[in-house]
Amino acid sequence: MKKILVLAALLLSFVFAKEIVITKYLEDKPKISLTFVGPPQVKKILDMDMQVLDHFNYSYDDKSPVRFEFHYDKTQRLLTVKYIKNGNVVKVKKYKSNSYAFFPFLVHKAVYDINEYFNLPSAKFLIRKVIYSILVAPKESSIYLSDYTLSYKRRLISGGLNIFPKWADEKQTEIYYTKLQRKADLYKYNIYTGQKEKILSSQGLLIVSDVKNGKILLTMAPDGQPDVYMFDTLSQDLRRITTYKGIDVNGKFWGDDKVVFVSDRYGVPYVFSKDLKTGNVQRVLYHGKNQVGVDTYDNYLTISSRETDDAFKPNTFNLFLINKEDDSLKRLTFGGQNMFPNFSVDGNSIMFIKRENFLSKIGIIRLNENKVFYYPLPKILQSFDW
Amino acid sequence: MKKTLLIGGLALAFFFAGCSKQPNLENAQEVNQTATTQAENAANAAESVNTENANVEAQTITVTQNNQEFAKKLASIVVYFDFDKYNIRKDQWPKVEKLAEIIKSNPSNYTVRIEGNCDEWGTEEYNYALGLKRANSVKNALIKLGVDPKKLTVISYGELNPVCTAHARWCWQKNRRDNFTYLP
Repeated sequence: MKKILVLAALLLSFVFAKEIVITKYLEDKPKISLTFVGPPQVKKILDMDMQVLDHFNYSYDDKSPVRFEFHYDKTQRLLTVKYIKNGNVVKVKKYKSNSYAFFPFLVHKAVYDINEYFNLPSAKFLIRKVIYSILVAPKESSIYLSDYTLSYKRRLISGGLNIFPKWADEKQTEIYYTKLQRKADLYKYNIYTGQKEKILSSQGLLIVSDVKNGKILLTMAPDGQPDVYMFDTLSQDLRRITTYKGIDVNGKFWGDDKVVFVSDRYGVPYVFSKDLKTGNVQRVLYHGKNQVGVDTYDNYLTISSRETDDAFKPNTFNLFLINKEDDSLKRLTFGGQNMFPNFSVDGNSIMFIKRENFLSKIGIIRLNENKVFYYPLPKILQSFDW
Repeated sequence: MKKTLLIGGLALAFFFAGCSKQPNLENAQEVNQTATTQAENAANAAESVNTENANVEAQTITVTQNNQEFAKKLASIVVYFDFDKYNIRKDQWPKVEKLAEIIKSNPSNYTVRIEGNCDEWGTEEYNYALGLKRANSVKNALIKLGVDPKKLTVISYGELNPVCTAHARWCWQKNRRDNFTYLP
C-alpha cells in the first residue's frame, strides 16, 4: 500500500512539474484614465490596444490621478498625448504621419510609450509591422504591409505568385519572399526603397522558414526532394540539414543547438528536432494525430496539434507550448481549429489563425497575462510574419 | 506633343501610385487598382506604336496553333490524389499512361510542366512540399514509361491554385491534383 502511495505521489509530482507558469500575471495593474478627442476610427484602435495589451486598469473620463489625454487632428495627421499627474501636465508627446491611413501605427506607438513610462513588461508587439501574402486570384498572390490589427494596409508586391514573406532583419526594413515563376526565386526586398535582390533560385520549391543572426532556414527542393537547408547570408554557404526521402519542411531555430521541422517520416506530419552537433533526430511532442504548424522563440516552441481522427470535423487543432530547458508542456487553446502559431519578437505573445464555421479569426495569446484575444480576419492569409 | 502627354500620363500614374491609402481595406485596393490601370494604359499606348514585326508574328501564331492542340490534350488530363497522400492511385494510372503516350508522340522541342496542387488543409509550407511530391510522383512514373526526363519540369502551387473554392469535402477532392502545362 505504502509503495502504491509513494508511486502515486511521485506520479503527481511529475504531472505538476510538467505544468509551468511562464511569468507571473500582472496582479496590480496601474489605474489610469483616458480622454480622447478625434475620429471614432482612431479611438477604436486605442481601445483595441488597451484591451489586447491588458497591462492597465483603465477607464475613460475618470478622475484618476494619472490621466492621458489623446487628441488626434485629422487635417494635420497629428496625435498629441498629454501625460497628466494630479492635474499637472508632466509630459507631452506628439506623433505625426504623412498620411491619414497610417494612424493605427501612431496610436500603437503612443500606447507602447505609455507602457514604457510605467516600466511594464515589453509591449513590442504593438509597434511591430505585420507582413502577409493573400491569394487574390488563382496563381496570383500579393504581399501587404500592415499593423497587428490589420487595419492599415499597403500593397508592396503584386503580379504573379508572391508568397511566404518573412522579415529579414530585426528593424523590419527588409523582407524575404518567394516568387514562383518557371522556377522558385527567393528575393530580398527593402520596404522603404523598393530595391530588391535575387538571393537564390531553385526548381519546384524555395521558402524562407526562419531567420536568425544572418542565417536562414530554407525549405528547398533542388532535385524535387523537399528538405530543410541552412543558408549563411555572409559566407553564402548552403548546408543541407535533413535528408529524409519524404517531406521535411518548416525549419525553425530552437535555442542555439537545435533545429525543429515538420516531417512525414512517421507517415503523417509531426514535429521533430535535430541536434546540429550530434545530428540526432527525435520527435518533440508525443501527442495528437498530426502536428502541422510550429514556431520557436529562444527555448520555447509552440505546436498546432490535431487531436481528433477526422481532419474534417470541427474542434480539431490546439496549440501547445513546450520549453526545451525543463521539457515542460502547456496547453494554450482548448477548442476550435487553431493553426499557424507565430511568436512575437519579444516572445510574450503568439499570433495565430483560428478557423470557425468557415470564417477565420486572428488570435493573439498574451502568454504572461494568460489571455487570448480574437478579431476577424477579412481574407484567408497565405502566410504572415510579425 | 505626344511625348508631353505620355510623360504627363506617366507622372499622373506615379502620383496616384504614390498617394496614401485609406485605412478602409476596400478603398486601399481601389486606389491601387486605379494606379495599375493607368500604368497599364500608358504601357499599352507605348506598345501600340510598334507594328514592324507583323510577318514574324504571323509565323509565331502558326506554330502556336499546332502546339495549342498539344497543350489542350495535356490540360485535359488531371491526376487526383487522396487526402495527405502523394502516391498515384490505381484508378489514376490509365491517365498517367495516356499522358506518357501524348508526350512521346510529340517529337518537337518543348517542356511539360507538372503542377502539383493541394486542398486548403495543412500548413502552407507542408502543402507546398506535398504538391511537389505529387508532381514528382507523376514525373517519376512518366520517366519509367519512357518519357525523356529533359522534357519534364515540376512546380508546386500548394493551395494557391484551387479549381474549387467551396469549403466542402467534394471540393477539396478536386483540388488535390496534378495539372500539366505545355511550355514552349
